[in-house]
Amino acid sequence: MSGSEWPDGSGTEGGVDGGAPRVAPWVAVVLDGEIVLLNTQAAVLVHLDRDAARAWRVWEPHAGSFPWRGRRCPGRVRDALQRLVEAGVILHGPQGWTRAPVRWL
Amino acid sequence: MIVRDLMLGAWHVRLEGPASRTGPLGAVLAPMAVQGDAPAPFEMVVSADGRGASGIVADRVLWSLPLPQAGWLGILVGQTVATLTGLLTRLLFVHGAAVAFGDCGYVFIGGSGTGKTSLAVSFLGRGARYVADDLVLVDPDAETITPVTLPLSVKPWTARAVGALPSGREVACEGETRFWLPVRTAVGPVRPSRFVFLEGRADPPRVRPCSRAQGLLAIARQVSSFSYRHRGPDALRGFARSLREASCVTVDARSPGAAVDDIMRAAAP
Repeated sequence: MSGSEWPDGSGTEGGVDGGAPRVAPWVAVVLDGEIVLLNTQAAVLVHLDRDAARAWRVWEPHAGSFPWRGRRCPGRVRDALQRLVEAGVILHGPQGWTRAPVRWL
Repeated sequence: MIVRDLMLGAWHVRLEGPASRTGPLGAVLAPMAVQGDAPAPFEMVVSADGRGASGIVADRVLWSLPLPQAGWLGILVGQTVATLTGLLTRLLFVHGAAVAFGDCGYVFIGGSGTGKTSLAVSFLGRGARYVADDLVLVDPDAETITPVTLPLSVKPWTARAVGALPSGREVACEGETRFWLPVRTAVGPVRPSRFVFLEGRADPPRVRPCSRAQGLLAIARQVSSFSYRHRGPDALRGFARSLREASCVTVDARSPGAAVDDIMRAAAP
């Protein structure tokens, strides 16, 4: 499995800089629909419950807005996604909002 | 000075020092058998006056420390275990205890003083087999627990909490700590079916299920393979695999050993 695919092989996330492969600092596992991410450089763990994991997955990185801006986003999902921004799993840069590369284990 | 070579399963450990130190230390370490992997040989040198010790691997001094007059044996056992955790290349470790109850492997995880040993002893009193205390080794490929049958380190508060110890023998005693080796020990790898996370000291006890992802986070909060940054991905993958078929509960109890029935009920799939 490519390092940037979802664990079920659907779609690709993350990216490359100028075509050069980039080593993803994030690795992740899925347990019963919940996700645990580990930043291998900073030794930081982030946990997404099922709702937050689902919201993260369906979020379209280049849409320019986050699902937590919507009224239908539960508070704890919004909080979890906000933590992903703070942790660096969701990034904001010149190209707008993007996902950090994640290698699924 | 005495030199004593121990083959702890696949691990070669050499002890050098006065007999008053190498004797009890060798007696405590001898039942430990590291299976499968062969960590680099380890040498521990205790000074002639017993007031200091060093740990050496591949001619390199990994650590040196002063030793107190009382409590030195637990410190040296702990240093040996800590050294082993740093030498492991494939197996994962977590600070905890484990028993096998029938086909079910119970793993008890929590900080120091949370009642891991007393809970293990309570299970042993009900017929479980001893698997590990202090150091739980996980084989991430086989998804099993590798027995590490160091003697139980029974401190005064543990003895008070459990009352009678399981059938076994005292292999050493130093200060107020008894090193007790149960008779009934696991003879081979055990599949971890139940993970029990000890948190808090509530009275009456509270036992509740938790998700496997929360269990993985609880493991990462303890001293474990996650503590070595270069092993983080291995730890994430390996512990997650070990959890996939297991049930997880958290126990908030002043005396976890008294909550065995609740734990077994809550952890049942």
